[in-house]
Amino acid sequence: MSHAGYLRDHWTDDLGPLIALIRAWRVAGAEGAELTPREALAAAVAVDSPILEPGDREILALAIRQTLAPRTLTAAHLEPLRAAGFDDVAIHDVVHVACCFAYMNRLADALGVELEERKVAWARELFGDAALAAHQAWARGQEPSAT
Amino acid sequence: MAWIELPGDEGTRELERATRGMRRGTGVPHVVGVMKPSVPTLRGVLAMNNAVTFGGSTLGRRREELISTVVSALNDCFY
Repeated sequence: MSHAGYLRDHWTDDLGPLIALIRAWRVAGAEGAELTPREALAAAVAVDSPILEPGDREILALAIRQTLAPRTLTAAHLEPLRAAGFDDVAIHDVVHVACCFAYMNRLADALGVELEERKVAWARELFGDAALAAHQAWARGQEPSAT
Repeated sequence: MAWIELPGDEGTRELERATRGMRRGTGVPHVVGVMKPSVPTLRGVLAMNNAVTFGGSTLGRRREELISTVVSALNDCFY
């Protein structure tokens, strides 16, 4: 979530919709553990926001499917991006950025990387005290991340 | 900071070079620091990150960060 700070600082002055968008994605992902991949995918793709710009929804739909249900991808899933004006280099870049952050997420979660102190206030604003405390306890080995 | 033992940011000359420019008041970002046990890995991953993120792609920084945010949120990764 560290990179959401860039969106906070450079995208919109109205943080409410941005925070709501990020929380909705997190809920879709977290609850996805209780759902089938297709149900989680449907919930995440359905997340919408008025702050999204033209082309964002097509990019997000691909990144969401790639993250939650990569085995369901087909060539047809690239067509909405082409229809929105993205060329193959841009499509490649969408996939690669999503890959890159999936990699960094796995690295952080597998080795117990704790959020830096300077990012704590933003994390608290995004997800609240309880979620932040749970993250810090997990990172410090005080409780398992999952049962 | 992490569950494995990590050398200091300037533990070796190679590490000092690899992390130069990234060290802030409290050291390198933690997710970068966790790669310090292998400087070749650290260099390789940073090279990939810089090629496709931080404005390195054709998408522009805002869209890169939007993708990073949705992926991290869906993965429920707090970092």
